[in-house]
Amino acid sequence: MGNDRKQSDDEMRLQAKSTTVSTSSSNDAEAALSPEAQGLIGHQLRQEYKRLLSEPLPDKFTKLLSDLAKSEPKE
Amino acid sequence: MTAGQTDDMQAQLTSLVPNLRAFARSLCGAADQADDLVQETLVKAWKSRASFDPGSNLKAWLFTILRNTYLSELRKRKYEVQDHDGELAQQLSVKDGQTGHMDLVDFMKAFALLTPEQREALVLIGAEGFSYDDAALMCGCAVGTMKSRVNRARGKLAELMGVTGAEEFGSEHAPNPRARAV
Repeated sequence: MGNDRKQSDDEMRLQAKSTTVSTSSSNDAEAALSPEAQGLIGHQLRQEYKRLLSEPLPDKFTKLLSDLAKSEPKE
Repeated sequence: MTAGQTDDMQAQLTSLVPNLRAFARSLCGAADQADDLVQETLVKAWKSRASFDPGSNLKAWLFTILRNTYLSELRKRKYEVQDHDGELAQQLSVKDGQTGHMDLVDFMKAFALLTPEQREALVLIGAEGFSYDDAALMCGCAVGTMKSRVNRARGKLAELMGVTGAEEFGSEHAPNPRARAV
């Protein structure tokens, strides 16, 4: 776990770096939106996300998880 | 871990696969790459399940593993990513310079033009309903940074979609004018 923690620290730094690079777009973007505009964007975001959530689940995922569970050493 | 606990963990992970896939798709776009990311996340989660605190939020734990795996992948393919970012930034700056007559895009196209951090922030807060505190913890950033990412993401979407105020969109888009904000 020690290594993992070190790794995720590095990743955070990487991300912090890429954030400063990517904030170059117009400042208007941070201006407050009207409640209606926020509502519309939120609605469309949730619609699209719901569509992704309801996609049929390929068998490979349930198979992977049952293989992992089977590989569990019995006590 | 007892056999019962193993079954339980397996069932809980299975139930969260749709969310992991949706989150992965939001981060990296490509469906096959997203599924690879989810599989890798499940293997890592299974191997380190002893370190999961059963009293805490399993979805937040899994999402954190997924995003760290994604960032790790990005780092491995640094050059490719830099090129891609440059291209994207160029597209955006061209659009910014043509605000008067730029082509408006639909939600999915606009979403794809956000930075990965903005897409992540928007999905965690607006679609998954995590609190700003939890999302900031998951992304290893300050709460203020998370708020700013969400604001920028909304602002950029509005700009790309041409949505700036009440008069900008027709009634067919918004079933309820009081629809909950992101």
